[in-house]
Amino acid sequence: MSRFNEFLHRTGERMALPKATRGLILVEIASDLEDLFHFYLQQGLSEEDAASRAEEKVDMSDEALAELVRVHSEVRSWTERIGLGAQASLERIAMTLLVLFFVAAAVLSADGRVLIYLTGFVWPIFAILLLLVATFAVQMASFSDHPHPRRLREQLATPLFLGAGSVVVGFLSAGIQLYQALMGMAADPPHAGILFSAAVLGSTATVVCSLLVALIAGFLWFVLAGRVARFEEAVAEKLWEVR
Amino acid sequence: MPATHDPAGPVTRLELDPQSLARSCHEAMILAALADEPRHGYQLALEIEERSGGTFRFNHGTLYPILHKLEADSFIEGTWTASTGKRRRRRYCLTAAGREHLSALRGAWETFVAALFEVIGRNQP
Repeated sequence: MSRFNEFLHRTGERMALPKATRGLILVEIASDLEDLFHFYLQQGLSEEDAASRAEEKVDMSDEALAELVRVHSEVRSWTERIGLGAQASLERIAMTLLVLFFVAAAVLSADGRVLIYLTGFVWPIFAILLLLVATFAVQMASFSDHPHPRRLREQLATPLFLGAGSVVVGFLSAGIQLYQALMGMAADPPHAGILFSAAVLGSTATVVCSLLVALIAGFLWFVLAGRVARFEEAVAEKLWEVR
Repeated sequence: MPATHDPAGPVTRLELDPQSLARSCHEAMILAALADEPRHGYQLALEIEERSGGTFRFNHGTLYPILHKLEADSFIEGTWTASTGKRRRRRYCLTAAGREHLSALRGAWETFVAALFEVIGRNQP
């Protein structure tokens, strides 16, 4: 039992932060407390005085604590505020929906009817989807290498960037298709109706694909965010154990 | 961060606002203390106290928000290191972005201090 447990408990109770984040901060504070305690012992103070001086030096004012919470709230995602247990359940639902979606997509596209309205513009979106799945696989695999929690959190943005990229590509492609149709309609007025219908169907299919990829990106990000939060909590608990 | 700091660009000048001046001052001191070598939180406070001849006495409690903000801004990087008795300690080191930020802060503080002395003057020897 550490001589600073009571102080750390009091400090932890004042931090309105997720358990994992709070744990990591408390381990850091505990480490500094021990260092300061030994420093004051070397200065000739008694154990009691050294402990008291160390606590005094590390004690956080309400302003400092509020600032610390603000800094960490900026980098925390809303997913961590719903609790890790609830998040794990939501992840399972998200992954089930994702699998069901892929199965449904495979069944529906088996006869090729769903795909007939897709144009060549859909390939960049498929490329983004492949990149997304590969990124997800790499990030999930990286947990076993015991990486730095901060690095994992930084990588969390990648699926979101890819999802946003898919939407941009989708709408750009739709714009180009409609523009090409308008040019065709001007050159060939008798077939304007057919050209316009084909362009609307093609561009809508492209946009739907891009939005689906963005949705998948959101699902994958959600799953990764949960894994990172649980990983951080495990790291915090481990650090606490060996303290 | 001073009011003139844009996360995408360097600090150019300091605003005469107590809060941002204090923060900028703390940031500059912490980054400068990390410029030579990586340090633990408690070493940082002692180093600043020693370098300033005791003028700047850091309460460790105020150090954490600044350190964690600097880390969130990627100016420093904290890593857990194992020390004697298996105790884990957090050690911070300066990143390349942090070095640039420190250089910008130094420039801004030089300008600020020079301007301050222009206004208040110096004591005659």
